[in-house]
Amino acid sequence: MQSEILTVVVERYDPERDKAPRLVTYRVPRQEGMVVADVLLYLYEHEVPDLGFLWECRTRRCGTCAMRVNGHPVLTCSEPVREDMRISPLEGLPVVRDLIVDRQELQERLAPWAGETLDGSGKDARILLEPGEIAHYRALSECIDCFICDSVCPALAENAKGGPQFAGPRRLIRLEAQVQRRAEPLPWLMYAAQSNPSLCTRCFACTEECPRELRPAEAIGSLTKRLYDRHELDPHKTAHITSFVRSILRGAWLDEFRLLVDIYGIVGVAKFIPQALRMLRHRKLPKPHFGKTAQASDIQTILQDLDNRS
Amino acid sequence: MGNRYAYFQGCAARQSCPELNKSTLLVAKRLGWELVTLECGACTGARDLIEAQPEMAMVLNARTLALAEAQGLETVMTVCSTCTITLRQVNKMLKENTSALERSNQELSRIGLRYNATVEVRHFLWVLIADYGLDRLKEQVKRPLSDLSVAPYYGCHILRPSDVLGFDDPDNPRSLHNLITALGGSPADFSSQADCCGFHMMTIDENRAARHAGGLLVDAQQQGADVMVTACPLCHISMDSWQPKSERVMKRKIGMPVIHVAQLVGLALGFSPRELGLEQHIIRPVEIIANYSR
Repeated sequence: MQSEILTVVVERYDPERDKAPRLVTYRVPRQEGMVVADVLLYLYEHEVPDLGFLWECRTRRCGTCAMRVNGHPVLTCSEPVREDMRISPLEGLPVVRDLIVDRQELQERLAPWAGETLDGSGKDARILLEPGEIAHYRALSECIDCFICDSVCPALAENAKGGPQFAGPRRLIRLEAQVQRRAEPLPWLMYAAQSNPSLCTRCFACTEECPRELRPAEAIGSLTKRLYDRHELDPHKTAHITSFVRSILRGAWLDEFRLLVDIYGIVGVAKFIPQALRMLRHRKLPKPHFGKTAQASDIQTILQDLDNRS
Repeated sequence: MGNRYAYFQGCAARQSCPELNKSTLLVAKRLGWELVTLECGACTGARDLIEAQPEMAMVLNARTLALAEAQGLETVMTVCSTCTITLRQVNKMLKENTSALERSNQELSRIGLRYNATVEVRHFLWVLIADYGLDRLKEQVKRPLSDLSVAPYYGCHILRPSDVLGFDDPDNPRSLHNLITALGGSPADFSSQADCCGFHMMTIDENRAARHAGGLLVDAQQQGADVMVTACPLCHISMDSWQPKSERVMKRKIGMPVIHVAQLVGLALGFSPRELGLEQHIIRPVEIIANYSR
C-alpha cells in the first residue's frame, strides 16, 4: 500500500557555503499522478523557497528538468514519484546550486557551427529528403538538449583529465542529423571528425538513457562509417577497422598480433615489447596467423563484393 | 531446454585469454553441458565491422548463426560480451527484417548455407543462471567461496542497450551478484560495476583507456574486494593485461586480480587454480592460488 507521505532526500549544495553536497530529507504529501517535478515545486512553494532547480515546459519537450532520481537520469516532469527517492543533479556537469547544473561549457561546443549553412553561398544548403529518410532525420533532430547523454558519457568525463577532447554524444547526434540533410555534407563531416568520434567507448550508456530514445551511440556509429568511407576517420581507428576486415578475410578470426602492427607499424609496435614479454611469460601472447584457415575461402566468397573500401 | 549448445569462443578466448576457453570447457563438462565448438565460425567483427561495414557484419554473423542452426543447435553460447552484443544485434535484425534476412541468405547460398533465424545468442552467464539454475549450481559447489569478497564487474556489452541484450537491468544488474552468492562468496558492491572498461578506446588513446580502467579497479579495491570477476575477456584485457599500464599512468600500485566468470565457478566446483589457468593472469591472484591449491 502506498504511503500518504513521501520521504524525499534532496542533494543540496551552495558553492559559496558548502564544501560538499548535503543530503536533506523532506516529507511531501503524495498526490494522485504526482511526478518528481511536482515534489520539487511543492517543496519550493511550501517549505524550501531557496531550493535551486529548473523546469519549463513540463511536457518532455525542453529538457530543462533533467536530474537524477536514485542515481538514474530522468526528465523529472514525467517521472512518477516512488517511495524513498533521492534527487540529485545530473552527474558529469558542474553544479551551480542544488539541482542546477552548468550546461554552458557543453552548450558552447555547438557554437562553431550552430546556425551556419556552410556551403559558402550564404544560402540554405539543405536538401529535400525522401519520404523514407524523413522519419530517421526527424528522430535525430528531436534532441531536446536535456544533456542526459552527455552526463552519462564516460568518454566525455575523461576530457577533464587532459588529452584529445571528445565532443560528446549530444553534439555528435546533432552533426549526424545535419549530415543527413545536407546536399554537401563534407563541412559537417569535418566538424564530426574534429569531435573525435573514435574516442566514444561504444558503451551505449547514452542510447540506454536517452529519454527520447534517439540512440546517440548508433548515430556516432553512422558518423564513423561516413568518415571511414571518405577516408576522413582518424588513422588509428581506420587501421583498426581495416585490420579487422583483413584478418577476417584472410583467416576468419582476428589476428591480434597483426592488429597492433597494422595500427602502430613495425617500429611503433616496439613500445609493446615489455607488455609482450609479460604476456609471453604468462603463456598468453597472441601468435601471428600464418596461412589461410579452412573457412577463409567461404568467407571471402560471401564478403568479397560487400567490402565498400576495396 | 536441452543442454546442448553451439560454443562460440570469439577471438580473445582463442588468443590472449586462453584460460577463459580452458575454464569454460571444464565447467561446462562438469555441469553436463554438451558444447559443440564453432571451429569454422569467424570473428564477429566487433564494433568496427558493424559500424564501418554493416552489410559485411550482417552476412558474416549470419553465417555463424547458420552454422549453428545447420547442426540443429538452438543456442549459440558466447563467453565475450562484445561478441554477445554484436551477434545479438545482427540476429535481431535478421529476425525482424525480412529484407536483411533475404540479402544475407542470397550471399550464404553461394556457400550452400541458409539461415532461418531460429537460433538464440546467449552469454555463458545467462545459460548458467537461466538454463542450469543457481539452485542446481549450489548443489554442485564443493568448495564454497566463503572467504572471498568478489567485485562483480558487468561492463557494458552484457547490459546495454537493453532492447538488444535484456537479461539484466542495466541500472541495477544482479546476475553476477546472485552467482557470487550462490557460490558462497560475498559480492562487493562498487559504484562503477556497470561502467565501461574503456577497451574500445585503447588503441585510440592508450593513456586515457588505462587511466579509465585503473579508476574502476581502485573503486572495487576501496570496497574491500579481494578479486574482481568479469564476464568479458575484453574487459579482462583492459583491467588485467593492461593493469601495469594503468598503474604507470595513475602513478600508484593497484594489484587487483581480475578473473573470468568460468574461473570463479570452477573454483567453487573444486577445480584447482592451475586447472583453471589462474596463474596465467598478469596480476596473479596469489592468495586465491595459495588458498585453493590445498
